[in-house]
Amino acid sequence: MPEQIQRSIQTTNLADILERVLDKGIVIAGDIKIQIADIDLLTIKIRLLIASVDKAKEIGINWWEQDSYLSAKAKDAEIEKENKELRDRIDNLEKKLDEY
Amino acid sequence: MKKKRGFYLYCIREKGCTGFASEGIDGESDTFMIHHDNLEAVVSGVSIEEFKSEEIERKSKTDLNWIKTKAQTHETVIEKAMVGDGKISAVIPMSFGNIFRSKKKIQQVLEKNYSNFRNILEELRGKQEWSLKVYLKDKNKFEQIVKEKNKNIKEKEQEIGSVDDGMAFFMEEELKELISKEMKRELNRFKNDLFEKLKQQSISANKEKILEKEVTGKNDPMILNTSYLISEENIDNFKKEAMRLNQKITLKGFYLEYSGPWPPYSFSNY
Repeated sequence: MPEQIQRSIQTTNLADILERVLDKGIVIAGDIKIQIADIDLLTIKIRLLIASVDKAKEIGINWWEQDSYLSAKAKDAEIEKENKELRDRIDNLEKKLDEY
Repeated sequence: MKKKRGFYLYCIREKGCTGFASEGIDGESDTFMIHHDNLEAVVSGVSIEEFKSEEIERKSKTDLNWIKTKAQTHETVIEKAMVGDGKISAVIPMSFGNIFRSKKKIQQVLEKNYSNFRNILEELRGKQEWSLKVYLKDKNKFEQIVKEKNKNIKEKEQEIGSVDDGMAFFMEEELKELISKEMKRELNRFKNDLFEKLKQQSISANKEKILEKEVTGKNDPMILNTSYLISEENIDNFKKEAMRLNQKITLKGFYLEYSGPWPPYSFSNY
């Protein structure tokens, strides 16, 4: 069942990264305190993704294709798959936006 | 007038790791190491003006792409610090935005928390963090399965068939409620069972926050979000188990996705 296997090895996405970087990891009492804790992180993430779609529409490019982070990524699956997944995600989001 | 500089801290690791990302979070300054004994902190210079609290707060409201990009760079630097010579080293990943006014301050952090950091690194050595998320793809399928195997629902359905229309109308409502209740119960059992099975393949396991569809970008709702700390030798077993479970849960209308290795964000609390 190749399709299922493929799906199960799909790699990380932006949500995975933001969830970890913004919400986890150690905080040491540094000199500069970045207080984004009082804003709901989830709200940030939602707006973030919506903003990305808007931007992509606005300037007519697919930001994820130029995202050096993604092309440098070497996790457990191929970039192509990830790109496809992202494209599908964007399509879905765009559909949703159109409904409004 | 010289602009104020600070130092952004990404992670702490043992000296001697070879993995290294050159570009820091500001897109211009190179990353470098600050040592204390056999520990090192991976850092890079930043402009305080760009990274001060008010500025970040402003950007979180007006320029979320900035935060997105910076969070990704933060992750990239740590991943590169974690992987070197084809192997994964233990690192203690920092959260976004730990900034210090001087290198000396960071050295003091290493000094002050030396044994603590050593212990965490010792704990993390030879282990990897993996993420696994479960989604509901086909709610009807799941509902069908719950209905078929649930005795209470079956009884209720039979009862409805044997009463007059007026009565049946009210009982239909009851049946709907019953189905919804049983589905919730079955879903909880299903989630716990899956989590326990994967937990057995790990040293430590966490249930994480469920992310909304808008965040995951998927049509299917997330029903379980988990992270695991797994010993290197057991990664293949974990993946095998995940794939085996995926085949099983697909029959019930669910699917899972896993990813890794991640810097151990979820398992390096101190």
